[in-house]
Amino acid sequence: MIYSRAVTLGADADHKQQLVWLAAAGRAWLNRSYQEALLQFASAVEDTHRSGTLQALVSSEIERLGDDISYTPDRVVPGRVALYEDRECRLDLCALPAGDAETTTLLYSDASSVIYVVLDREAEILVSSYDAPTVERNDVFMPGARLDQLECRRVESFHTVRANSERLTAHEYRSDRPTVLARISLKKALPFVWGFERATLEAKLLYPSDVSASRTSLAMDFLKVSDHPRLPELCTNLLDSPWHFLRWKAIQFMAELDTESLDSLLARAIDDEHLDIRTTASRVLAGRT
Amino acid sequence: MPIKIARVECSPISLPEYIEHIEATIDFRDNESIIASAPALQRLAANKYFLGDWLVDALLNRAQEFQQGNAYNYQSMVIRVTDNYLLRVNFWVPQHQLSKLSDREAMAFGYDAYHNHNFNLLTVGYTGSGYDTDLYRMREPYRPYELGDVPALDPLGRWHLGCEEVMFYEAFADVHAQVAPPDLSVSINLMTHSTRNTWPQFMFDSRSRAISAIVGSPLDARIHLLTMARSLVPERANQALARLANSDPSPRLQKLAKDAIAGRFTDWR
Repeated sequence: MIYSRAVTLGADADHKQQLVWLAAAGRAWLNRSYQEALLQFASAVEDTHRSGTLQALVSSEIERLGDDISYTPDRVVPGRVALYEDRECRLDLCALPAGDAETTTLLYSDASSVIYVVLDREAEILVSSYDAPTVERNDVFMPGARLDQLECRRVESFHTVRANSERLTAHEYRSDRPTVLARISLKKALPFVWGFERATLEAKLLYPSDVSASRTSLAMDFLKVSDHPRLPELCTNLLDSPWHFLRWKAIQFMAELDTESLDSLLARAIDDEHLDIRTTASRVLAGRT
Repeated sequence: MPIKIARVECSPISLPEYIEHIEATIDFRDNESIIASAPALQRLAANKYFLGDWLVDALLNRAQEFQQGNAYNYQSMVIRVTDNYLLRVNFWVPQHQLSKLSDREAMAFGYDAYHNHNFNLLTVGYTGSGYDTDLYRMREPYRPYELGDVPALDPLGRWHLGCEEVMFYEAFADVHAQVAPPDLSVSINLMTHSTRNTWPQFMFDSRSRAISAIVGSPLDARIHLLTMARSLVPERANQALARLANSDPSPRLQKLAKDAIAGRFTDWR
């Protein structure tokens, strides 16, 4: 279950090197919005195109399928082929089916900074871009906050779309035929994905972008209902969690378990960096005095 | 047929003891052998601390890697994977704790989501009052069903998985949907792996019982790769698909390859 591997498909050294360069240039552009970084990335895309790297990688994988009937490509899941991965970013091929994406009732915000590269000369690909101008913090939910549509434009082959997760944005892609895009994404994700009602573009819900935060929350609930003696140990640790909802849950559980005085927990909460925790702690404190 | 085994008084065993036992005694290709291991699973479930200890150790000592590579939704946490089996725990959250704003969470927990499995599953209730499950038996499980097909399902009624009770769901034939329990409940699952000729897993519409989604099997990755490759290297991809369609040892893979050539392969949804 270890999920880290550099170049994931079989390839000769030059193509592997080309992938590493493409991913590095994409990562650099996502991290630094400088013209120089953009130019380097454009150059890496051009070189990748000229060298036929993606075609060579996929062809070598096809060859392997033909040679070995028991071979199951382990980095292929429906709609995605993992090409490269390091500590900071990943590079994938992603399927884009034909037709309208507007079949779901919710439109989800971008979880991380990402670049898409159109690889297909024939397909007509449209991207719709949205932005939520009134949302200041990804982790402070504002029910009803609206997305504005910024543009809907055609993306030419070997052109790129860059979604930067410093703001709350959403992007949707449509193609007139089944096609494949290259995607470079940073692993560092925003804490939450927001779901917007498609018809009104109003924020309806949010959920953690990292499933392990949801699992940790479930684990806390389980330890509580099963009266596990090590729940306080875990809660103490989670007081420093990067996830505000886990910090708040830890405070609540510790107060209920009486493992630390409520005053000291509230004193900590009142200095929390998250507005919701500070506000709630202030309200509780005011009620006690 | 699904089997239910009642709770019995038993002495608890540790997780390493359980693992050692099943790896030494079970033939994972044999249903009877898997079912015969139920008493060991009950003894593991009688150990009320092992899971909490395992979770706390994982979250305190290896938080950055916690469940990394676990592709299931957040309901499931994987304890161990080997070439022969997968051991995981499933959390069942009561309905009132699910978001009312979308059906995303209900779907994640599998509530009202009728499905079969393409693996055998032996499960035990660990904590909480446990889930109800509405069970059906597929009359002809080994057929190449397609989206929209309505396989004949015989209703077996609503069953309940309580604490330290064991159920065995037979691969392909047993179809069920869980009902949210009234309180947080946990089950432990021992699952066998799919094999090369495994049929896919199906999801069924809760009203019509028509097949609403095909989850697929690991081998489908071959078709997924070739389908995507058609945009990049169409000639090679089409040749490879034609080869699979004509000569792959699995009739199911042959059919999927033909579907892909005709543009009818619709991945897993």
